[in-house]
Amino acid sequence: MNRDVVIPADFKARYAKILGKENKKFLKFCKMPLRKSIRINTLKADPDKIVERLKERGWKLQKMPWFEFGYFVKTDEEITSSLEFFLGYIYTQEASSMLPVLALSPEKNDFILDMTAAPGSKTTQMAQIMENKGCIVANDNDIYRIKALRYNIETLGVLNTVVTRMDGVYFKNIKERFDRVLIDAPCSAEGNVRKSWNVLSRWSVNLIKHISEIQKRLICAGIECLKKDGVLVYSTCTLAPEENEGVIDYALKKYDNVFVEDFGLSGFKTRPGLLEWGGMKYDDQIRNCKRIWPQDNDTQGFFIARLRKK
Amino acid sequence: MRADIIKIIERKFGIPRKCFKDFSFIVRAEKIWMVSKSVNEKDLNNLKIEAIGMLFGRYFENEKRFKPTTNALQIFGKFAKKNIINITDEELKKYLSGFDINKKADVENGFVIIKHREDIIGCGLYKDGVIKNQIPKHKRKIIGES
Repeated sequence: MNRDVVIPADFKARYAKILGKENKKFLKFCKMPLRKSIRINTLKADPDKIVERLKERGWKLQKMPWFEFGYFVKTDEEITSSLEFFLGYIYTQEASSMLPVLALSPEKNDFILDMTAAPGSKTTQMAQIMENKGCIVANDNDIYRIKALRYNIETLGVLNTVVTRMDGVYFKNIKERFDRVLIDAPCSAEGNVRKSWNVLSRWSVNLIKHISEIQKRLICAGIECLKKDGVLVYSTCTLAPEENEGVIDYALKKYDNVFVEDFGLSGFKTRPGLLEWGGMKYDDQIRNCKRIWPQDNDTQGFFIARLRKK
Repeated sequence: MRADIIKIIERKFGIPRKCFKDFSFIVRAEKIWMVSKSVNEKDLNNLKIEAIGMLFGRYFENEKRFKPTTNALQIFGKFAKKNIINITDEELKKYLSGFDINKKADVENGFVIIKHREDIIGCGLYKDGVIKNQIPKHKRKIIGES
């Protein structure tokens, strides 16, 4: 059912420029609530057994084609009040929020920086894929958000993390240390509108411009601390080109030792990054970035770029 | 210290020492943290560290008593052979809401593992037929709302 959502005229106009006639469909999806989704935490649970016991309780589960431990769920139970959630067998995570980790494709013994880690959805997803091996530096600069991060790490049985509290920009001083870097950057969160209407109540073009400056500093820090041949994934849950393609284009202009890699997300519809916006022409490599529109997979909006350091 | 911790856990719960072969312990005052050994191989210089790994338990030197955390038991409790109390559906509901349970069990007084069917629920403090609730308060709240 559509919610009584008032979408700012500027917001509508911006996306009409990109989507044309399809904008109507996009705006319709913005007003629709999100499907519930969970990730089964293999650090503590056997996925087959969990699926079986949840089904016995009347939960309807639909496996996500792009991630074997992700499920859309329909249940009358409050997921976060379930025994399985308490035990850390399952974790509530939006479907498209699982994708940046898949783009990063962590390996068991990697040394990984999750620069803006709280509340820990992606940190704990990585730990699960890495089977608690290697090491993840899970960083955030907000003490309250770090509490949530630590809570989730411990509840989900994650044992390969080091939680740090630093401004992400500080990592520019740590040269070429990490095999992989994930920057799920703070953003205007337009893609979250289906989860929280407040997103649009504080939305403005000025906010987007302000945040994009922070994002540029973060991606530079991420490139500095990445090893040669290492992979950096930059993602946001916004659709604003200034915070996405604009940031990647800035990084490509500043660093001639990184390039944008294509990557597959099997079973998930994505669209290439924009090559121009607001009178700016972006680097051709940006077509390898992925735009995730809410209407394409019935998820929240997202943007993902995968960079490699030469 | 590592050997001491493992010895205590092995004696108390019968959890074999081989279960801990991939993990290190870090002791800070009475708190004991557990982390994958692979973390030790990485360069952590110049990082402002808030926490490493997971809080595994607390060792009270004066009382010579070790209290494992609920999170630690949820991982390693499945390997335990003794000092385990199985609880019923009704008792589970009560326990998760933060209440103590009156239940006579064939276990030693002290910290025990609370189990419901196949699930390790966490830690309890058993004394003379009463299981004192050890579920952290912030976790009780979540379940209490169900």
